[in-house]
Amino acid sequence: MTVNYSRVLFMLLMLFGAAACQKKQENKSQVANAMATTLVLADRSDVDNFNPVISSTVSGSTAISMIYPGITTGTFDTANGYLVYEPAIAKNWTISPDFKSITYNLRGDVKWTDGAPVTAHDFKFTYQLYGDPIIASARQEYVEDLVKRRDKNGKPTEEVDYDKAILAPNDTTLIFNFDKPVAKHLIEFHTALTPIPKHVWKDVKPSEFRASELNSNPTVSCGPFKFKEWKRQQEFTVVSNPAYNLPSPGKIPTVTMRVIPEYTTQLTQLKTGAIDVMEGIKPEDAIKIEKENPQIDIRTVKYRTYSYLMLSNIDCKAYQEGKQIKPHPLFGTKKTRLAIAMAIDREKILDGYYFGKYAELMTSPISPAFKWAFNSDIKPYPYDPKRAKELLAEDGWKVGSDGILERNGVKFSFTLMNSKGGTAGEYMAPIIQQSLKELGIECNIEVVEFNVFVKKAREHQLDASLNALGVGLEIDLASAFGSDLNKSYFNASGYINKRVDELNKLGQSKLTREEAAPYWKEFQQMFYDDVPFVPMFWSSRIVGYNKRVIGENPNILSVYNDLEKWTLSTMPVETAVK
Amino acid sequence: MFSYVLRRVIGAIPLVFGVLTLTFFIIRLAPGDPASFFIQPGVSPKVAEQMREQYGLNDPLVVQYVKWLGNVLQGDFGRSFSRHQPVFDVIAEAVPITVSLALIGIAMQFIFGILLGVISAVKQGTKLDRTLTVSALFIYSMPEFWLSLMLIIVFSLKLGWFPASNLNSIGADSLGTFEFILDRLKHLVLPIFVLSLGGIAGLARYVRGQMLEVIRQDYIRTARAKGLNEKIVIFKHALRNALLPVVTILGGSLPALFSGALFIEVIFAIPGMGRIAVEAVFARDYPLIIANTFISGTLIVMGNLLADVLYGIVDPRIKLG
Repeated sequence: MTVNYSRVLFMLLMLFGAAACQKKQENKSQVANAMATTLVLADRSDVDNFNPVISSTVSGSTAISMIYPGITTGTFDTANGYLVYEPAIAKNWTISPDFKSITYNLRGDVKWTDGAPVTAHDFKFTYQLYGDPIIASARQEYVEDLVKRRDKNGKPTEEVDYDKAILAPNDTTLIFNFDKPVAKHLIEFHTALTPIPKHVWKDVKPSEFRASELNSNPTVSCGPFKFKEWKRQQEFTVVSNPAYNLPSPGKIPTVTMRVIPEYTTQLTQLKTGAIDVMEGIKPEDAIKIEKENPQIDIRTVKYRTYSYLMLSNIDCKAYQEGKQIKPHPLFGTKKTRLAIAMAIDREKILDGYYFGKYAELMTSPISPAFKWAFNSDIKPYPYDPKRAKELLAEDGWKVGSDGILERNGVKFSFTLMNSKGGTAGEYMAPIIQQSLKELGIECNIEVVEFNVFVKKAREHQLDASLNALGVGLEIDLASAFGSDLNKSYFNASGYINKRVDELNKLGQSKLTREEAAPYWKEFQQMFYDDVPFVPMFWSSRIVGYNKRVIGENPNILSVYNDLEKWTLSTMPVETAVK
Repeated sequence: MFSYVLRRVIGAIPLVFGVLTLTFFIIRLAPGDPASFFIQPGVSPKVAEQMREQYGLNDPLVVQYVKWLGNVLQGDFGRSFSRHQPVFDVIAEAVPITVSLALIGIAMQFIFGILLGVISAVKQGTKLDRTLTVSALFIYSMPEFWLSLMLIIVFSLKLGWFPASNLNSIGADSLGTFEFILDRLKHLVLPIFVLSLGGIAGLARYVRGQMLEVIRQDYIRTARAKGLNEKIVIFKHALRNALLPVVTILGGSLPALFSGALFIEVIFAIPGMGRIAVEAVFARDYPLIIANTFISGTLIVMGNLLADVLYGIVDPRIKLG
């Protein structure tokens, strides 16, 4: 018998092809099904770890908020512009009349994923870790007001006395004690740190804490979601935790956060539906998406970040040589700084870069979102180049032979430093340069790598730069406006005003927001009068959500706010976690 | 031969150490340090100081160097500051990804580079040759960064043919091995295209040059005079000889194989060695930077050695020793 090999081969190929087609269909549906029930988030950098004590990245905090519980739940009261706390693990709490103690009554029915109850001892244990200098938690400031150990003379030392500062008389009672009265909102803020399970961590030594395997594999947690896996530098995945009762498990079965470092790639993935949420979208892209991508919702979050034109108040050279504080030869006076502020057409930048809607003109470094403390009487410096010229003349600046202003033989010429990758800064710098040129000021633009920029700014090596700064949820001026330049890392202008230090202390020491507000408002007026730098904009955080996401509620706390309540329109009804 | 290789390897040890020592000092000259990450609004300045103490950055530079040298001599390159893992664990996770990417990339380079080079040489002076030459020069000088973004916009966003990032689709873990690999390959099409395109263009030019030289040789004329099929003349007689020097290029490809493609891995979100290197530099993660330098430094030395040995093997006129 002769075998027709080519016919056999043809039949085999047909069979293989048919099988492959069928298989392909199955696979396609497998991947599509997974996508239908998975919320895909994206971040530009990976999670550092899953431990609330030592995590110090934004992506880490996002992950932790999914898998760990809070003693309370912070929500943002947009009408008044402050954080308010609602019960979570704590059923209720009372603050002592002298504002030196808070007592939480905990629910007894909240369980870690291994079935062990979440108790007051977990909180006490974790707070000791937050305060341990060997562990060096980025949140150690939160424990600093707690009762300190006494020396022989009965004077408080630097060390917290945990036996007296945090008491856990039983599983459901947790008491924090402070050395001095602390404002109600600060007590609640400082005692709301996330706990980790004591029974899992108790044998890990502080010196080995950061190296522990548990940081990357948090098998025991207690959140609306629980940890599934982490592929480093690729993605982490959490799944709904059916046992969660604060108040209920995450509705979406699976949440994956992918690491996509490049902005354009991430934007493409949002547009193609490969990811569901992207934050930090540039204004120009947001405008395009609104026009061209009906499947994406653009939402904005106001305002945690401001940009400013830093003008050094102090002479950088003198500061480098033995930290002498002398007025800067160009920007050392209020009048000159005000002239520069009035010479820049900020409305033009607002319209050109932010399309008039993704930012607002900045009047002071207190966010307009913090309505209780924001001084709305202050209006932005007007754009008035004529007045700017007058101010410069009043300050002694005269036009030199080359058309550039001069004073006492010093030419008004400087370098405006910008950090690489700051797109808003790249847009603003040439406009500022042009505006100043019209006044007779020579401004040269220089761009440097971000780390170099930060170091130079911190060490007061820069005459002028375009900076951006984020603000915390509770007002603290120390790091950006404190007059001790060795401690105030973000006071790049070298603004020194002792009254600001006093106002900061007064504002923080008042026991209610009503009492504190006048001090913050006074600071804003002082800022407006002193012009330590040229305030530019409070910019919105722009977030894109695929329309299949239902229930998103971005606020100043997070773009993933209420994640456990979100659902996906693509989820078959039976897969939604009840 | 063996003694030659041994001598070269022994000679390379002080060279690699010299490179590492230089790296150790140079990265410390760059502004910023790993602890400066902890200087953030709302974080106590104490934290950066405590981290500096833990990382041993408060010691005098010489002390840091001696400690580091002691550890390295025991094979301990330390823990990554930014990833809190032993540096070789970080690298071990990335190497398979980078190597698979680079192996496919190099295979593409050699297949298409040689093919186009031969076509160009055989059709020397024709329109086809000129088109290939101009295209090769154009592609060779195109920035990878720009090309990657253009490909993403065209093939991911507009046409939707290929995914723009990551290694697999969501839910790919539930696929069978074959389908998983297919899904992976689909994700790798764009990065490999960019990765190999420049190489293909370069190699095509190189092969073309070699081929033109060989084609002019007497033995090719003899082969043709014998009445041999042109295909046999080109592929059996000419190409074999033209490829001898090309083989040595493999040696030079070795460092690229392991050190990864910096920008491509960042753009396509591929967690390989290139991305580790970029991120380590930005984070001033000293141990990771040094370990990376160690890997690529060693590979460059080994690659050069391999190239030299290959020269000796393929060209009997060169004697090693």
